[in-house]
Amino acid sequence: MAAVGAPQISDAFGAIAHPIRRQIVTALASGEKSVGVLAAPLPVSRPAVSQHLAVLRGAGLVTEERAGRERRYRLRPESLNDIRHWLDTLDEFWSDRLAALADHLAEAP
Amino acid sequence: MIVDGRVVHEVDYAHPPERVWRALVDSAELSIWLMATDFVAEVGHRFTLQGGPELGQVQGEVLHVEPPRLLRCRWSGTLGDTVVEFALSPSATGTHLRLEHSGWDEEHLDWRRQFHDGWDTKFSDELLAVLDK
Repeated sequence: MAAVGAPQISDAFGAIAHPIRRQIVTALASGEKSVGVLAAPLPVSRPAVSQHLAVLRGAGLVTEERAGRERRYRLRPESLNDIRHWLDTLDEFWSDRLAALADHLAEAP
Repeated sequence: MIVDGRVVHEVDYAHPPERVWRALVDSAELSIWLMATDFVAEVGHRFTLQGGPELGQVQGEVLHVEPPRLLRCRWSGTLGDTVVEFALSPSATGTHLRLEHSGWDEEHLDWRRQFHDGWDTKFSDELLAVLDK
């Protein structure tokens, strides 16, 4: 398990904050794809998709492979596991804190 | 709950919004239920939160203050660059609180700031996508 704050996890959290990048990640969940195939159903230009892919690569969520003149992209499953784990930790943190808020309000209304 | 890569919690408190709001912005109260802090609810104010093992130390910045309805802050540090938002609304039993903690995305955040109230999330996402061209 990667430590909290390892650059890739925090970068990945920011990377998936964008809806287009979430759609790209969803599309790659069913297998590797080229930029063209990824861009086709999206309401943004191909250069914009390439830019989003660069952000996803920088965050360690996606890898790029050249197959001849084509570039193909694939999800890194380890990163997805790391980010899922981080989200679970954060989810639990807030469950605990918001319950503590209830206790605090009860004690000091 | 994890929704669209964000942590979202919706909780009801049997206290009026003004009371719940006070617990979100008063540093003495925050230090009791959240983390030790020097928080002040002023846009632009920078604060720290002495995090525990989960989040480490947090450097924060107040982004948006709308008592007693909306508080949005940037939380950065070992947890990365993130945004925490509390939205309060009155309910039959007191206050409904919605907490959202998401990763920081500069471009996305500007539009969400502007279109926060009353906009359907899906519509604003589509709008963002069109503007991205």
